[in-house]
Amino acid sequence: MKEEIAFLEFQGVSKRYGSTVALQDLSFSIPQGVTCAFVGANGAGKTTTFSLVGTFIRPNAGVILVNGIPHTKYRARGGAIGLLPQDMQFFEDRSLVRQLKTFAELAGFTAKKALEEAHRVLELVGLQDRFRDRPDSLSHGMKVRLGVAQALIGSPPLVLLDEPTAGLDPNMRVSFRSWIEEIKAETTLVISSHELGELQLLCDYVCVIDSGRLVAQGSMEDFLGSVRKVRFHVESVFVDWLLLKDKYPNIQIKNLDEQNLEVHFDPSDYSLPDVNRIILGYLIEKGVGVYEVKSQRSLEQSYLTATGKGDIETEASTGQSE
Amino acid sequence: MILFNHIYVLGREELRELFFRVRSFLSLLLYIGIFVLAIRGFVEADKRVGEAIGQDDRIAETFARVINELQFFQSGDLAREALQWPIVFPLFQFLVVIWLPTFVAIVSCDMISSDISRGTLRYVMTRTSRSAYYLSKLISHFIMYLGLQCLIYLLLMGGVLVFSDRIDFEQAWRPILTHAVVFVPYLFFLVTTTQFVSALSRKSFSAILKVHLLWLVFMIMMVQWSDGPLTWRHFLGVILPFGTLGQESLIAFGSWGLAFLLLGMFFFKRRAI
Repeated sequence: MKEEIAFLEFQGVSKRYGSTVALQDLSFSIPQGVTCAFVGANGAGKTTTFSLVGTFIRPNAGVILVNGIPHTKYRARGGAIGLLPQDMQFFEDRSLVRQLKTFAELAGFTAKKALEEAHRVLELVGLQDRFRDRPDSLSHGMKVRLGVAQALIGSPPLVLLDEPTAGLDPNMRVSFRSWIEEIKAETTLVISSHELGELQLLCDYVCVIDSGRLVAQGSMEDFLGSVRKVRFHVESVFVDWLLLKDKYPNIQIKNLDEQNLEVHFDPSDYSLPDVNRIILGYLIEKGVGVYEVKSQRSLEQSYLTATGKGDIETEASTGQSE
Repeated sequence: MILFNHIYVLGREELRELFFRVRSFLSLLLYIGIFVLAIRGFVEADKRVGEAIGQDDRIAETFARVINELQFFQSGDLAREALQWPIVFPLFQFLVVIWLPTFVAIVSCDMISSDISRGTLRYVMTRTSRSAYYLSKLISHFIMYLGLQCLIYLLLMGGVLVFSDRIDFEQAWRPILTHAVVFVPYLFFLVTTTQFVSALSRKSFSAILKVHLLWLVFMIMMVQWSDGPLTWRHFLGVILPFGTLGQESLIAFGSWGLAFLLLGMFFFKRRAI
C-alpha cells in the first residue's frame, strides 16, 4: 500500500434499472496508488459501478468522488480517467492510430505529441505493427489490447479495466500482467475480473461486492488473512511425529490422507517460515520426499468466505504455492 | 478551455466523417445537383416574368395586390421593395426552405443515435463530457451545412451572372446576402431539432421518422395558430426577408433553435448510454 488517501470513493450510491436494484447504498474507497481487485459474481454490480464512474449512467442516490471531488466535476476540470468498458466498441472505419491520436488530443496532447502517445500505447500492448489497420481486422484479443491501450492514453491517474483478460490466450495474459506491472507504480488501478488467480497476482487491494452491496474491502494481505495452516503433499504421511509434537506442542499435525497432511499453528507463536523450516527439516530428517507446500488462502477462497458462499475450513485448499 | 479543445477535436473528426460517409456524400451531391439544375430554370422563369411585367402593368399590379391582401408586409413600401428583387432569388430561397429539412434529416438524423446504437458513444465518453460531445456534433453539422449553403449561394451568384442578361452584380448581391443572413437561424433551428430527436433515439431509422413527425407537428401548429410561436409567416420571412417579416423570422427560428439546443442537452446529459 502506498498512501491511504482515497482516490476513488463511493458514498451511499444506489442504482436501479426499473424495479431491479443494481447497487444498494454502496460505499467504498480505494486508496491512491493501489492496484485494486474489484470482485463480485455476475450481476453483483461491478459493471454498473464502472458505468457510473464512466458517466454512462447516473446514480439514483449517493455521491461518487475522484480525488475528493465529484467525478463529473473532476472530469470537467480535465481530470483524466482511463476506462475499459466491458463491451468496448471502436470506430470501425478509423485506423487504430487515428482513434488513439484523437483520444490523446482529448487528453490534452498537441497533434504531434498525440501521435507519439498513440504509438507509445500501441507499442505497450504489442499492436505497433497494426497501427494502420482498422478494428474490424483485429481478433477479439487484439481488440481487448486496443481497449487497454486507449485506457492508458495520457497515463491517467485512475484507470478502470472491466474484464480486461476475458478472451485473452495464456500468452496474452502473461503480457497483460507485464503491462499492468509497468504502469501500476504511477496509477491507481481498478480491475474487475472473474480470473481471481490473476487478480491475486496483480493486486494489492481488494473490494468485494455482492448483490450491489460492499462485502469487504482492504489490502489483499488483510483480506486473505494471516496464514494459520500449511498443507504438505508428501511421499507418505506415516511418520513418527511424537518427537516433533513433544518439542513443539503448539503445532498440530493432521493427516488428511496417505499423502497429505495439514499443520495448524498460531501465528503469534510461530511465523510461517519457522513452521516450514520445522516441518520440512523433520521430513527430510526422516527421509520423506516432499512434493508440494501450500500455505496461503486463495483470493477465490477468501471471496467465497466473504460472500458466504463457501467455508474455508471445509473447502479443499487450492491456494498458491509458497 | 478544455471544453473548447474537446469540441474542436471531436468536431473536426465529425466533419471528416461527414464528408467521407457514403450516405452524406451522396446526399450532398444530390443537394448541390438540385440547386445547380434549379438555377438555370429559375433564371429562365425570372426572365419570362420580368418580360411579362414589363409588357403588361396589370401583372405587376396583380402581384402587388396579392402580396398586400395576404398581409405579408405591414407597409406597402416593403411590398414594393419585394417586387424590386428579381424573382429568381425568392424562388431559389423557397427551394432552400423546402428541400433543406429533408437533406438535414437524411444526413444528421443519426448524428448521436448511431453512436448510441453502435456502442461507440461509451468509447468517446471515457474521454470527454457529454456537453463537449453534444456541442461538437452541433457545431460540425452546422458548419458543414453553412459552408455548403455558402457554396450554393456563390453558385447562384455565378449562375445568375452567366445565364441572365437582366440581372447584374449590383442587383444580385443584396438579395443573396439577405437570404444568407436569414438562412442562418433557419438552419440552426433545423440542426438543433434534428439533433434533439437524434439524442433521444437509439436507432437511426426511428430518428429519421421522429424528425419528420416533429416537423409535421410544426406544420400543424403553423396552420392551426396563425399567431402562435411558429407560423407560416416565419417561413415566409426566410423567403421574403423584408422589414419586420425578416426580423420575426430571425427571432423565431433563433429562439426555437436555442430552446431545442437546451432541451436536447438537458435530456442527453441525463440519458443512459
